[in-house]
Amino acid sequence: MLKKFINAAGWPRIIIGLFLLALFATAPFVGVLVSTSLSDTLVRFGMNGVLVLAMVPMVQTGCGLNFGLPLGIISGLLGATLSIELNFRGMSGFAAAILFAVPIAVVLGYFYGQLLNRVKGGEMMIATYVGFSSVAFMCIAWLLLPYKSPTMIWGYGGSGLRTTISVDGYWHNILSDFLSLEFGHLNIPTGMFIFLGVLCLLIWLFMKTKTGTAMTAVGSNPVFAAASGVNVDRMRIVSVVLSTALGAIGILVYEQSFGFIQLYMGPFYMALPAVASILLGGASVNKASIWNVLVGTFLFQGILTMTPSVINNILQTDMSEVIRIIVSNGMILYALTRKAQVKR
Amino acid sequence: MRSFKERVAALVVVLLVSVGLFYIGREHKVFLDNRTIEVEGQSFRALKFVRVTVAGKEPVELMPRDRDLSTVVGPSFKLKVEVMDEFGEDVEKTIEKELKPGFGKDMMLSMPLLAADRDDYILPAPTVQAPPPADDVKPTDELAIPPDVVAPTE
Amino acid sequence: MSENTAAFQTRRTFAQKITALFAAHAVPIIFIVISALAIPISGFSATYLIQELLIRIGRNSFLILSLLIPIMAGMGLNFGMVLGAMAGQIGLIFVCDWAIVGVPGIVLAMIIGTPIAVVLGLLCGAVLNRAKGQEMVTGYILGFFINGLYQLVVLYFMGWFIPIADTSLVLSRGYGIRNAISLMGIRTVLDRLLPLRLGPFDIGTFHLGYIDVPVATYLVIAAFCFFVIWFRKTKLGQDMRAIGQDRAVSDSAGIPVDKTRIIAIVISTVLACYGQIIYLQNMGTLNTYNSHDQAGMFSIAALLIGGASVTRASIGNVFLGVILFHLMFIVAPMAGKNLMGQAQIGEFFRVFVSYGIIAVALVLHAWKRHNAIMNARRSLRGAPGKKEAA
Repeated sequence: MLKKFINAAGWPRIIIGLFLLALFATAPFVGVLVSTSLSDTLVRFGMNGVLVLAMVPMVQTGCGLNFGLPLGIISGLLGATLSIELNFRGMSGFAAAILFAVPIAVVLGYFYGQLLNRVKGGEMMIATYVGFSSVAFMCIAWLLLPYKSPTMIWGYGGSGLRTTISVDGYWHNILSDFLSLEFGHLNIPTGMFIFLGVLCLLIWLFMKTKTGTAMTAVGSNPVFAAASGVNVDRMRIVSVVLSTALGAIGILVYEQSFGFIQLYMGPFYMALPAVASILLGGASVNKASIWNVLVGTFLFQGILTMTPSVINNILQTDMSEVIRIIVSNGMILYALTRKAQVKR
Repeated sequence: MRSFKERVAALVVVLLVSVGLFYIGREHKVFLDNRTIEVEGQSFRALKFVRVTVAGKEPVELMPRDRDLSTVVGPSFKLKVEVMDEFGEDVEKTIEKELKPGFGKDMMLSMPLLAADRDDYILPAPTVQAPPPADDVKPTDELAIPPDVVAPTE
Repeated sequence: MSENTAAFQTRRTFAQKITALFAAHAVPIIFIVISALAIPISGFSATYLIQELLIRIGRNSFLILSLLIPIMAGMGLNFGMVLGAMAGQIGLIFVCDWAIVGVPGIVLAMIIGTPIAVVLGLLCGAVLNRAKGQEMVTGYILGFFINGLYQLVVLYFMGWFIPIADTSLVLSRGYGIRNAISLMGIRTVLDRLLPLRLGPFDIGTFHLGYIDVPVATYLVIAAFCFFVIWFRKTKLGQDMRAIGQDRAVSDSAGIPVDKTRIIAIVISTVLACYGQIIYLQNMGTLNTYNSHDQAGMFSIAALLIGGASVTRASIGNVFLGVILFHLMFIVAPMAGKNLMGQAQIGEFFRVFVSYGIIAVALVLHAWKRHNAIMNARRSLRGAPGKKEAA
């Protein structure tokens, strides 16, 4: 029974889970409020969930970990800035941002998918650098694009968009505050969870459709899939488009909770936490489920929230950043080296 | 593969070279102090005017209560102290020494003690130096969102 | 008729040759064109440009050269070279703390960095052996992972249980190394070891002022080039090239594949450690927490701009790359300012190009490999028979 559980969950998750549990257990003794920490964890879980979900389609079709997430994020940023430029506020502002962002993401994702189809086997490294160069390209674009809204452009002395734009007064916490519950210090952003839940459900349902199963087939054995009449390249493009669109929506969910749009180098390293999360959740380089997303995001964000408060109170140092770097990259490294082992 | 002995020998050679490099490349701060000093109940007054040459560099001129800093590299250096009259014209006394800081780091030399031909002129270097610049460190973190535009620069 | 066909064929091969030449050297050609356009716009003087280039060749070549050996062994671009750079920086921190100055300081930093680089190289090699075919992305993530450990050591352990005597290096909280360390004691000592000043020249109406050449640094780089040339001919070098050609064949030929790959990475890491020390002695400031990151990115971009690919790189690629990349690096901000009225655009442009060029080079490589596989498959399906019939 225990063995079965260990096998199902996998050692890394059990170790990290126990570590997280230990953090929560020690928290009260070092003067950290468990309820605040828990609600921080929940908020960050909701914020990052969709970004992590954006990994699933590409992993499922064997395109590897989506290190090119910044491309989706850029679409989201374009949507967000357009929505503010046109002065949409409240729920309609958020909806408008999604409506603007998704078509951009679909177009970018289509070309990105075309590119990845030509470089099978080397997707991850190329995705990384496509992400980086598109971020750098957009840095130039943010300076030059003719935005007019005074909340977004630099005042006198500068030109182009600001590095961080507040969404306060537009759609700050528009999802998080929807039906949110409060128990003392514990605050549950229900709306954000519902949104994440609906998206997860949609992706789950999509994976059960004919296209979805074909995509999984492509991921597990492309040669076999092609032989049984599945258009491998098309499936891969669908998955990349889906991942990019989810990335665009993901950053919007993130921003409405965070309160700021971060332009320029902001999206630069955002793929890594998402990649680490899904791997922490038990996904491998070519297989991922919704369950992996939820578990991974919760564990990763839990550690991110708890280590600063607990470890820092124990050791009196701010080690959390370093621990985060080691844990998340260690997870990615573990996944990359594990895959080769199984193959052999 | 090479034998164990050869490896140990190579390691020893590298260690010796390292020690040698440490020895010849070490930079020493030499503080030149011209303040009145009390040793063994005796008071040595600050010199009116003194010209100090450290390791053949540009001479340093010290008035009473002056303290100056010079840096030297290597295990030993030459020191030339010229005690002058108060107008800085005539040399009253010249002291030449060779100092060997060796592996040690910083030292302070007391001019009045030197002028009095005593051997205990080497004092411990003052520990409090210029206040370090304000903390500007923030660990770089690939996973967090950079707070501002950070373009790689060279 | 046959004559006609022959002529047609030669004409076609000539045209093909030109296209092939362009295709093979597309990246350097594009950069030559960009530079040729940007230099006049930037308005820099020739003296300034040549002086800057000479400095930057001396500063960066060694780091870029350290990438050659893993490419030879078929391991792609060694993104794990940042490990070596970190080892070098740890050496420099100690040397700085002990106040060892001048050339002895540099050599001592190298001696301290070497064992650290060897250990990290062994680790990197072992990890990459477990991720064959995904070396680059694995090396890249390994760089981040080790960066975490590096920060743990430098930011928390140094000054805590690793003694650091010089308080000016340590943060005011009592442990951890500062963000920026001044390397005044060893700044440009290697560059100035054998000073050589050329000029002023007058070539026709073309005036060139004084130009300083860092001769000693160039000698070190030249020695490294000879090392690479010699190394290719050794048994180990031959083994590496064989592995780079075909891992399975080499394995059956009795070459210890895994071990040789580890050696390739260890050599590269150690050389990257020296390269970073040479780089930083020229810069004169150690940015404790980001110097190494940039070293990796810039070196790889420069090598690729020089026309290298993921599988083939020569010494010529290194120098062409360092010249073209840094030419762009120098002129882009100024050209951006003069063209668009904003230096920032030029800065972002060069960042874009640095990343973009790596992306393009990786895409070209993967594309070629993909096509080769497709062609192989097609020819297996009976295409050769068809050819004979025609």
